[in-house]
Amino acid sequence: MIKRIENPGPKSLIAVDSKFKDYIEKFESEINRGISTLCVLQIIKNSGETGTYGYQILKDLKDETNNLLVIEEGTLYPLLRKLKDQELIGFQSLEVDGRLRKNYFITENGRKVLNRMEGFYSILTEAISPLFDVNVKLMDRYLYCPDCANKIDLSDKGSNYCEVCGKNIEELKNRGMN
Amino acid sequence: MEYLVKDFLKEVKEKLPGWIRDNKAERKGVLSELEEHVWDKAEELSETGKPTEQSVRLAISYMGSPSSIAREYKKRGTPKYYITEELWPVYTKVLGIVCGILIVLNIVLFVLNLVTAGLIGDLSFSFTSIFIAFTIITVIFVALSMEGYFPEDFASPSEVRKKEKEMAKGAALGLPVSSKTGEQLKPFIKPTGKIAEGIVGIVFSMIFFMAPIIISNVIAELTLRGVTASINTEIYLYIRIWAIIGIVEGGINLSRGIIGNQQPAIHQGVLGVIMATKIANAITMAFVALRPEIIPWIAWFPDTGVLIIGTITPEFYGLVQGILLLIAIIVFLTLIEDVYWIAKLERYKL
Repeated sequence: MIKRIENPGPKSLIAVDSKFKDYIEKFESEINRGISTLCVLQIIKNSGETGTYGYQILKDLKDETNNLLVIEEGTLYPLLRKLKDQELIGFQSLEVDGRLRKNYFITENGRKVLNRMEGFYSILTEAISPLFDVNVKLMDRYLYCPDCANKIDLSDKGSNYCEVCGKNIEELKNRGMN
Repeated sequence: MEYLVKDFLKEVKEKLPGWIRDNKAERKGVLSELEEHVWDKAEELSETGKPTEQSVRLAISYMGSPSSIAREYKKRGTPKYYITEELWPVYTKVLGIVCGILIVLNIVLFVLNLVTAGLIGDLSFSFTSIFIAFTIITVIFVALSMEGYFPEDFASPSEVRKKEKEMAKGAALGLPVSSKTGEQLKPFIKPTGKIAEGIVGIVFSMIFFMAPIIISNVIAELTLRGVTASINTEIYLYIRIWAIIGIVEGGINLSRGIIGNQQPAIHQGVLGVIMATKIANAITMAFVALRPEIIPWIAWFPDTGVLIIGTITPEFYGLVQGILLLIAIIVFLTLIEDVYWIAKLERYKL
């Protein structure tokens, strides 16, 4: 975000001393790195079984985050490769207009890891929100595993055990649904 | 327009880490994906919906610099000191092998210098060679980590397949996953190989055990035919000791093969016994080295047709002692491998 400011006011913090601008930029990029991975995985998950391709992922990322989370477009591909190496996503090559396009989809393990990452991120955001005078409220349709923070959809009638840590959540599930 | 995209991709290619740049399929996959992205973006940025020179330039600027793209590819692996966790086991292995070779080389040269009393020149070199090797290897591995290399990037597809096959075998045998690397542990012995090694060892050692009787008979026969043949029978004791050690080692190898890749604690125990037999071997060798006059020798003089069976002459004592001492040292050094395996087998305990 700070990178978008081309002509800062002459007496502004980032104009007075470049070290503050550098510090803020570094901080932003560190925060963005983790969140980008989370958001990219979520977008790929939302694309379903057929998956989605790099350019579309970036478009969705901009749309879903009101143009706030912007990453250098070329750096998306190293990230996708890393996720593929970690077996969180897979890809299939599809021919579109005579060109081969890589369509990325989330794997079963990727879905489980994403749920855990989302759960942790959501709980953390809610926990720290009072510090910054913002109000974050977790939605009632989800349950967060008390042991590992895994995000569990209450409408999912599947297993009564947490997919990540194996905790028995039957009782918590029933309580949450009532 | 195409030249703009080509130039951009060329620059990215040059900056890519070696493990992508040197792999044709990888490189092609990375570059074609980036190319497709540039054209899609250029279409979106163009007012007509068709890429223009200006929209292509703009699309490329959105991609980020080739260096920043390449930098992201290099961020691969888990940081551990300055060498990644993925490369760490290979680093320690290479370091161990190279330093081991240098230590052996230093000891061999040291012994040669002692035995020859410097007759063939000063062969010993300083132990700083180990420090230099350590520095060079460390610098190489730090550089490889910074480039994002993984051990599998150095393996050919057939080697990767072989490793996967061994891992699958390890999983089928119920071997655990390494707590260090998180990888499935491979079988630690080849049972059929060990069984064969054991049988061959026992058979040869039994023949060796019988050698004194055979030698005595041959000498008696040759003496009858007028050939100069005599031997110091004290050597028979050592031959029998080595034969017994060989039979024990053969038996151990045979039993290890029969146990197979199970019971790591038993394997550790028998490796301890093998170490004891090796020490016994080295000690007896040192004893023989101290009594060179009992070492047998055969001399054949083709011009006169004379065959002499006897013991070595004093001028060869130094040489033979040196060789025996070297063998004893090498046997001692192989104990390092046994200690390594005893420690490694800890990881196989469930």
